[in-house]
Amino acid sequence: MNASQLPTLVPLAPEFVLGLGAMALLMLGVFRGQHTSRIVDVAAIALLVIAGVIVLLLPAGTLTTFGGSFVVDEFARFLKILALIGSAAAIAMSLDYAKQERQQRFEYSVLILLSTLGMLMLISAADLIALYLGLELMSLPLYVVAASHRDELRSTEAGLKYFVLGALSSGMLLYGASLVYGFTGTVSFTGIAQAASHGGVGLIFGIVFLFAGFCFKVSAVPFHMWTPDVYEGAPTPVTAFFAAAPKVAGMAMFVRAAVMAFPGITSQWQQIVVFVSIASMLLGAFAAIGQRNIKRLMAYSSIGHMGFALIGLAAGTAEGVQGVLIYMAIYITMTLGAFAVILSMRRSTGMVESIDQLAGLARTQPAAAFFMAMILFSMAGVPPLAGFFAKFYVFLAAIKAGLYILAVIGVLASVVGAYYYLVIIKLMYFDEPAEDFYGMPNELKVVLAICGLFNILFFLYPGPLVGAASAAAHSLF
Amino acid sequence: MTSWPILSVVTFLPLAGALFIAFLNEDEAGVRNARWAAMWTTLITFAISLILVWRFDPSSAEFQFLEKRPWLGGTITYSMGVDGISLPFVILTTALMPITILASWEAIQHRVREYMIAFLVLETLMIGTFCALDLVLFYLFFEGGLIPMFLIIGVWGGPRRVYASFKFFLYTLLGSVLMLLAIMAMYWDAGTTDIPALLHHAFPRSLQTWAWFAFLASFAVKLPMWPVHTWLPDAHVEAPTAGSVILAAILLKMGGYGFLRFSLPMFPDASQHLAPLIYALSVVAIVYTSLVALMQEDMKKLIAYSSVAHMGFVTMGIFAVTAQGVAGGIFQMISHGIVSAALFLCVGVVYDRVHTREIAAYGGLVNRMPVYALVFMVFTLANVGLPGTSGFVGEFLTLIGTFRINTWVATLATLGTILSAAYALWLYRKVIFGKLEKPSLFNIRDIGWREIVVLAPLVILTIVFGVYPKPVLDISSASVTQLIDNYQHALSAVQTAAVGR
Amino acid sequence: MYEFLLNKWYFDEIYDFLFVRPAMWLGRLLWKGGDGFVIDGFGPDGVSARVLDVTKNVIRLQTGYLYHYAFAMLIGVAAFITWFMFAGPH
Repeated sequence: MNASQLPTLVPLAPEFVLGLGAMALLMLGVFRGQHTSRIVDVAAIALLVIAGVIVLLLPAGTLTTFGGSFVVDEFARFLKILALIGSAAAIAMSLDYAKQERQQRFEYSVLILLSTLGMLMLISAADLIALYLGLELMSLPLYVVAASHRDELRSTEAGLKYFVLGALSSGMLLYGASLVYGFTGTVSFTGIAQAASHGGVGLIFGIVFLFAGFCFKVSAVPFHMWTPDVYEGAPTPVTAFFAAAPKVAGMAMFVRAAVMAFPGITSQWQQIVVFVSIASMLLGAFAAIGQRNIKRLMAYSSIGHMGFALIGLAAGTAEGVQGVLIYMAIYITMTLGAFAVILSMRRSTGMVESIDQLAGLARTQPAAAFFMAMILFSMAGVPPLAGFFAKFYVFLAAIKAGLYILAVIGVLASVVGAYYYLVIIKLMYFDEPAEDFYGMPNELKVVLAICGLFNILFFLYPGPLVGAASAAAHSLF
Repeated sequence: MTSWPILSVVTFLPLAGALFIAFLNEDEAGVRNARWAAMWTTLITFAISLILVWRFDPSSAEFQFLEKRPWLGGTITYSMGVDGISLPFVILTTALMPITILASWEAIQHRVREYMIAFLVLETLMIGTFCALDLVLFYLFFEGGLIPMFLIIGVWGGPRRVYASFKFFLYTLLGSVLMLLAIMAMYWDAGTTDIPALLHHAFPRSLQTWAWFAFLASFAVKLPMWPVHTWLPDAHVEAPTAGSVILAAILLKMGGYGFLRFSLPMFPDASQHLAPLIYALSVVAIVYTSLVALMQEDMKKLIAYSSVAHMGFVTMGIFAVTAQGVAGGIFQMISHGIVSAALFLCVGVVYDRVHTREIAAYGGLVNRMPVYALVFMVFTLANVGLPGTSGFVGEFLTLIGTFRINTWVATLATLGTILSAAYALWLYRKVIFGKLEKPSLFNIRDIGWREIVVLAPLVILTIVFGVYPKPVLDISSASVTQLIDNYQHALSAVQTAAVGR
Repeated sequence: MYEFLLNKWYFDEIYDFLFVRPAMWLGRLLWKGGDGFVIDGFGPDGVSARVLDVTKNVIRLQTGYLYHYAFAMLIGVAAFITWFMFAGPH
C-alpha cells in the first residue's frame, strides 16, 4: 500500500492531537505515578484547547475522508467546538473537587480526553459503523468515571446502572443499524438516504431501534431513566461533564443520522421525535418540582431541555436544526454555570447537595447568587436571557413546520418547569441565609462568570452564534 | 426628531444607573449613594423624556424618533419609536419613577442597593416596552419586566410575598408564552416582525382569530381582566408600597397598550367579531370587582379591586373603536396611573406609621392629619370620577364612546360608577372621619415634607388634567384617529373582498 | 305620622334594605365564593394543586430498580413499533 492510497488525514488533525496526547499523558501518569495528576489535568485542558484551535483552522468547506465515513462540515465544526469547550470546562471544574476529596487521579483526565475523542469521532461520523465506533469510544470512559469514587456506594451504583443500560441501548442501536443495513444495503448515510426514499416497515423498525439508542444517550423519555440516578450518584464534577459534552455529541449523532440518512421519510421518523420531545419536556417539567437534591433536579431539568432541543429536530427543516444547535450551545453555558455553583456547595462536613443549602446565598455570596439567578431564569426561558432565545428559535422552527400542538405543549411545559427554577431563586433571595460555604475556587469563579455573562449579554449581540448555527444547519441539507 | 438616539438613552439610562449602583458598597455611605444615584438617574431620565414631548409633532400620526439597528438577523431588528399612543405612557413611567424612589427613601432599610437596582432595571424594561417597534423586541421588554417585579415582591414584600410573587410570575408568564407563539406565526405569515410594517399587513382570518386570542391571553392577565384578575389583589397587598405603585400605575397599562398597538390594528376582523366578548368581560369586571371591593377589609386590596374595575372601562372604551372610546381609554389609563399611584402612596403613608393595612384599625384620622385627609380626599374623588378630576374625563369619554355602539354595555358600566363611589367614599369615611378612638393612632404624625413632595405633583396633575385634559388628548388624537381610520379601512376591505367573491 | 316624617320617610332605611345590604351581600359572595372558590380554585390554586398531583405520580415511576428501567426502554421500543405497524407507512 503506497501513500496515495491512505485516506487524507488532515480532517482528522484534532482527533490525532487528542488521541496521541491522551496516550502520552497516560504513559506519563503510569510511569511517573499519581503525583503527576495535576500536570496531566492541566495538559489535558491544553490539549482540548489546541484541538479546538485546530478545528477552527481546518480548511474551509466540507471535508470527507475514509471513503465518506468521516465528514467535517460546518455542522461538525460547530458541535466539536461545543464538545471541546464542555470537556475542558468539566476538567477545570473538577480540579479543586478532586483535591478536596483526595481523589486526584491522572486517569480521570485521560479518560475524559478519550471520551472527548470518541465524541469528536461521533460528531463527524457519516456512516453507521463510524457512528458506533465513536459512540462506544465516548461511552466506555463515561461508565468508568461515573463509578470513580470506588468507596462510595452511590457512585458504584451509578456506574453500574449506566453501564448496564448503556449496553442495552448499544445493543438496540446495533440491532437497528443492522436492520437498516439489511433493508438498504449500505451503511453510509448518503447511501441510505438514496435507498430509503420510499420507506417500508422493516426500515421503520430499524429506525425505531436506532433512535432508541440515540434517545438513551440524549436522555429522552422513555429512555431517560438512568439519568436521575446516575447524575445523583456520580461525583459532582463527573455529573457536570455528563450534563454537557456527551449531550452535545449525542444530539449531533441524532441530528446527523436523522437528517442525512433519512431525509426522504421525514414524516415517519418525525412522529417518533415529536412524541419523545413532548414526553421529555413534560417529564422534565413535572418530575423536578419536588426534588430537594440539586443534582437530581438538574438531571430532570436536562431531560426537559433535551426535549426542547428535540423540537427543532422534530421540525425536520434547516431552521429546526439551526434551533437545535443554538439550543445546545446555550444549554452548555447554562449547565456549566449551574454546576459551577453546585460544585462550590462545600462545607466543613463535605459537599452538600440539598437545595435548601442555597438559602440566602444572595446575602452571603451576592455575585455568585446573581449569576446563578440569571442562569436559572435563562433555563426557564425568560427574556432577555439567552435561554429565551434558545427556546425562541426552536419554537420558531416548529411553528413554521406546522407543529402547532407540539409548540403549545412546549410553552406550557416551560411555564410549569419555570416553577422549580423560581423555587431555587426564592431560596437564594427571599430566605434567611444558611451556613456559608467555603470560598469558591478560582476555576469555578471563572466558569461561572463566563457562563453568567454570556447568558446575560447574549441579547446584545446574538449575531455570531445565530449565523454560525445557520451555516452549520444548512451544511447538512 | 433629534440627531442622537433619544429613545435609547431614555430607555437605557436607568440601566446605566443600576450598573453604577451595583458597584457601590453596602455600608452607610453606599446606601446613601445608592438612593441619590437612583434619584438622579430617574430625574435625568424624566428630564430627557420631556424633550420628547417638546419635540413631538402631535399633528402627525407617524412614529417619531425612530431608531433601527440590525439585531437577530433577517427582519428582526432593534427598532424604537413612539407615536401619540405610546408617548403618554413613556412620560407616565419616567414621571412616576422619581416619585417612587423618593417614596422608598425611608421605607426600605435593608438591601437598599439591590432595591434601587431592581427598580431601575424595571424602569428600563417598562420604557422599552412602550418604545419598541419590533414584535420580538417588544416581547423581550414585556416579559423581562417579570424578573425585577418578582424579586421586588419577593424580597421586600409582606408575609405572603412568596405566594404572591410566584402567582404573579407564573400567571403572567403563562399568558405571555401563548402570545409568543402567535408572534412566531405572524412572523412566518408576514415575513417580518417590524411593527409599522405589520400594521399594514392583512392577516388571514383564521390566523387573526388565533393570534387575537393568544394576545388576549397575555394582555388580559396583564391588565387584568376578569376572570384572570386574581393575582392582582395578592400582588398588591404583599408588594412594598413603591412596588404596588409601579405595578398599578404602569405595568397594568402595558395590557391596554398591547390591545391598542396589536389587537385592534393587526387583527381588525377578529377584534370586531369578538368585541362583544370584551364588552361582556368588561361589564362583569366593573360590576363584579366593584361589589367585591365594597367588602374588603384591607385597604390595598380594596384599591387593587378598584383598579380592575377601572381597567374594565379601559377595555370597554378601546373595543368600542370610536374616537371618544379609544381616546378615553388612553386618558383613563394615564389618569388611573396617576390616581392609583397616589392612592397606594397614601396607604403607604399611614402604613409607615401604624404598620397595618386593616381598615378596622383606622378611624378619625382627620383629627390629627388634616393635610393628609385633604390629599386623600382629592384622590378618592378622582377614583370615583368626580368632574373636575382627571378620573372623570376618562370615564366620561369611554362611556360616551361606548354608548354609541352598545347602550346596554354603557348603562351597566355606569352602574359601576355608582358602586365605585360607594366603596371609595366608604373607605374614606372609615379611615378619615369619625372619632379618634384607637390608642395606636393617638400620636400619629401628619404628613411630612418628603411625603408632600411625593404627593403634591400627583395632586396637581389630577386636578389640572381634570379641568384641562387637552395636553394628553392632543398628543394622542392624531394617532387615535389614524388607528380608527385604518381599522375601518381594513374592515371594509375585508367586506368588499367578501362581497366581490 | 310624626315618626315617618322625622325619619325622612324612612328613605335611608329603604335604601339600606333595597340596595346597600344586597350589594354588600353580593360583594361578599363574589369575593369569597367567586374569586376565592371558583376563580382561584379552578385557576392558579387549582392548577398548581393538580400539577403537584401529577408530579407525585410521575416521581413514583423512578423506582431505582435497574430492571425496571430496562423494561421501560423495551416497552418504549415496543410501543413505537406497534404504533408504526398500525398507523402504517404513508
